[in-house]
Amino acid sequence: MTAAVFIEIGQMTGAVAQDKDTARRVRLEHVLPALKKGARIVLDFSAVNLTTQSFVHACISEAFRTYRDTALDLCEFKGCNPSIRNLVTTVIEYSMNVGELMAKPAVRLTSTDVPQADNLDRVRVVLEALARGDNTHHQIVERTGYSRRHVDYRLHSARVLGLVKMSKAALALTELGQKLVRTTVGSEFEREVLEAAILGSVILQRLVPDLLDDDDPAAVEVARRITKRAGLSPATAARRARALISWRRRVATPQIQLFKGDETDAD
Amino acid sequence: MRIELPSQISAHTIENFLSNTSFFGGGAAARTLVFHPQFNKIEPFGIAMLAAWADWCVANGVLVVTENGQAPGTVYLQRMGLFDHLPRDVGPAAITHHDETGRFVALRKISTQRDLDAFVVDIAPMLHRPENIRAVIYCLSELTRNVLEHAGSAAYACAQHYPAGQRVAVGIADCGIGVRQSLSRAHAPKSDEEAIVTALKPGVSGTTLTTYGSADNAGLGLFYTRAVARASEQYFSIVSGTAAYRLNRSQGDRPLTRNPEDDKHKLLRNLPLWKGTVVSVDIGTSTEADDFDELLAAVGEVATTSTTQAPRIRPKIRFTP
Repeated sequence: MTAAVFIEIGQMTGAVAQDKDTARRVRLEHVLPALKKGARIVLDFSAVNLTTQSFVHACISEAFRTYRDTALDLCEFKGCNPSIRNLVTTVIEYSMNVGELMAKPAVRLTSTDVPQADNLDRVRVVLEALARGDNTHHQIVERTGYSRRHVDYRLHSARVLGLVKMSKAALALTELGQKLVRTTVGSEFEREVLEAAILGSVILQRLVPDLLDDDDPAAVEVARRITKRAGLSPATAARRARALISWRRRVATPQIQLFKGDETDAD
Repeated sequence: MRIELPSQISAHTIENFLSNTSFFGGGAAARTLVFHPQFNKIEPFGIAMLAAWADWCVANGVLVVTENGQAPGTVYLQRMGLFDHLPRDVGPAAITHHDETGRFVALRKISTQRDLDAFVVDIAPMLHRPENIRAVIYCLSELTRNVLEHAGSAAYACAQHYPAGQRVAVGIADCGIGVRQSLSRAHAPKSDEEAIVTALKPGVSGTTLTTYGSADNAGLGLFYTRAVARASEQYFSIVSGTAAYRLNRSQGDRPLTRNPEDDKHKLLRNLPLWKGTVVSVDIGTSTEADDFDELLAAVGEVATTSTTQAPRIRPKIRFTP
């Protein structure tokens, strides 16, 4: 049985727990690792007189958003005065309600929901064609030089990311897509918009909610989830998993990847 | 270029002050800050603004001189530490030092979390009213941390206790990127006023589109601060760019909602530019200690309502003594 983890918050923060950097360290170094191992964790607020909602959020929100009932079972909050208790309750409640929305999309996933384009920079090239007024597949093919098949893959990925709206009549950038094309390629702003797109994608949050977590999700595990939730064959799921992992690499670090030219799209 | 200050700068008269005072027009021309001959009152947000602006001028090579530095209210400014940032056209007045405890928290420039930690440690004994220390610390902490995380500049903060008015006024100002640019990374506000209103809603963070933010940010700091002021029937104001929102003191029977425009308020547009953000919050001192606990519960209830279409989860949390 994995040993319980005890965190005395007051020892780290003093009577006023308001340092979000400390909260972040508690989350990354203690809470998330403990939950990943299935260990019980006790957060002791006995020596804390006052905390802020921001501190509590930085400490535990991600844990409850990701681990949900497991976090409820394993986490104990000790010595909380009424104001701290109220804040902990609020943070856990909205974190789990947000997680619930992401865990249950409006429609069941199908194989066609899983993105295929593995190069986000080439997805962006397609978006930039749209921004220039090319709003048919043919025009985008002409503009970019990509094959029709690859334009379709990239538009589909853009739709999954909430960057493009598609209807029978026309293609158009969403507000987020417009924001992306206004950023400088390789900039921190671009990275942040892509990160927001991934976090805001119902499909991706259903498939790989931990895609952008500090710990790399293993490609094998991602492929397993794709097979289970979208019904793809293991071989196809493995290719799609590699594509999603490449998105993570593109987005999870501030600098543009050096190997972006080496990747080709899936068949 | 002359900047003429009114005789009073307060949350009550903020519209007049903001509408008639242009700090950032005039390019690199020297500025003369003119105190009104009957200058007699300035609330903490005004002090914080002047300090932030003065340091911005120094950093940007803009010369600043002052005029009428002998006006009656300037002695108070000296005690609050403003003339550590602003020049003064006359020598320092002889000050009779009073015990600061229970009266005010002098101006502080906060650039790091360590500065903020030290500031919070210093606040508690200076405002020795236990029934409202927590609310003051809470608001100062949330608002100042917002500046450090989102503004890209230092925060200037101070506080004053007004026993007759039964309130503590807190003011925080910066000359950073402002609310609109801070939100634009994840949202697309079309104006400063839209940005301010958006930022006041719970769950809106400039770091992500996801409701209730990222692992580090929930977008609830301003919502809680507005709620604290509202609960004690006091002013709350936020200024950024060319717009400002000021919550009225009396809300009658209106319940707290997620939308700041549901409250009685003033939304000011087309103001002279303020480069950065200013927040002013007043906290009533006639409240009891339990009121703060109940307030947090009530605010949390609103913050967690209607966030999703799914049935609301009320988790059973393990609290132990």
